Amino acid sequence: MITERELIARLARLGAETLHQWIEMGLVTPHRDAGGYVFDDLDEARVALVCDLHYGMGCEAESLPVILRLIDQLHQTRHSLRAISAAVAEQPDEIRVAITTRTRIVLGRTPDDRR
Amino acid sequence: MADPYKTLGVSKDASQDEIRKAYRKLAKDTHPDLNPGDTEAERRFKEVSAANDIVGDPEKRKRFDAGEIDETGAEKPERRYYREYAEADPNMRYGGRTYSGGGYSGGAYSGAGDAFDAEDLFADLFRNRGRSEGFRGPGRDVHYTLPVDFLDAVNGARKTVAMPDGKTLDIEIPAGFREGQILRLKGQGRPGQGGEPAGDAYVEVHILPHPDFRREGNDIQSALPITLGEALNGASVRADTVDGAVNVKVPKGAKTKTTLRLRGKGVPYDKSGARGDHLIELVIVPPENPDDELAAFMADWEQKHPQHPRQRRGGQS
Repeated sequence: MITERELIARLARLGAETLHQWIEMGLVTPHRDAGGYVFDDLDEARVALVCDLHYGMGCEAESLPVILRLIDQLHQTRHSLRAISAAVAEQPDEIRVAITTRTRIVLGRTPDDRR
Repeated sequence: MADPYKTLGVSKDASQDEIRKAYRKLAKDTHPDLNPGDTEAERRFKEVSAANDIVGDPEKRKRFDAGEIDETGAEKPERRYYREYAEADPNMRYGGRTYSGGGYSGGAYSGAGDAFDAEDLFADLFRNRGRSEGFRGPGRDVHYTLPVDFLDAVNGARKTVAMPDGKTLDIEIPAGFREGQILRLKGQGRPGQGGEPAGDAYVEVHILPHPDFRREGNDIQSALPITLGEALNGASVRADTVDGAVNVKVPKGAKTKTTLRLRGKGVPYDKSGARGDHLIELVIVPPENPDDELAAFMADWEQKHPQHPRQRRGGQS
């Protein structure tokens, strides 16, 4: 956990006013304690990403929620997929092969197409 | 690293604006958080960012062009990207929320069913597991990690371990096992398909730390607390070694950091039966409840025999 001051010190391009704006927009949801906001690793990495989008790639503030929403959905999807693929990987070989083969067919690939 | 101009795909006389545009385009393409499944993305993004750090800054660009700094610039600290946290976060803190800033508000297009549309990802996840799922072929190798007690690694042990897939493996840990060594159990991997042989199991052993012993190659190190009286008069005291307690002789006049070497009480070398040593470092522990009598005696004694503990050892006078 780091404080707002520490976070801003680590991210050269970021100022307090902009950070507050992002928090207000709900782009980042740090915890609060008596001394103000505190940021964990997840929050810090997220703020760094927003900085890259905004300052590095020139994404306007207005478009940030849309982009982040899509990235969030991507991570949710990957999270579910990872759970599914872990569950599949634990199955006996016959079941696992059946699922992966069927998946490849549904996706329009030949069964032994490993790309 | 490559020429920053080449990395960004601009000519050496490109304007700052052209460089900024080129960087933006490449950053959008390669940012690891926009390419969560692509392990190459991080390397490419770093290259692009490093190039931009130099020629994207007019001052640094001037110095680079003049040959004052090379293309590496200053090394940046390791960065951990959002994707490393986001996907692993079990609470999905930043998932499924809506933003007041006019963003997307959930609904008909979200949901688990979409997961299967991500075909590249699905293929990617299976491919990353290094599996060779065909209809026939030898069984896959499996990899496990196994934590092992310090003393079991030193003395050797036989372990019956339940593996994640429910089967149990008998694992023989040879004496003198080293951290990170890998045991190969032939034929203990996944069964083969269509009459092909089973794969092997590879067990990577991690040795747990011991509260008293440290291992340095084939030597064992430990600290042995002794009283001031034992140090002054010499004594025979019990000390633990990796194969049980032994009596060790504390020499008269022992000091803190005096080291006793117990030959052949260390870690066995492979098979030959030879073993390293156990090095015991003495630590003099002052009396627990010094009373006035002791304090007065010491003051008196030090008057007669001035002590210079802070003088450099081996120094003059």
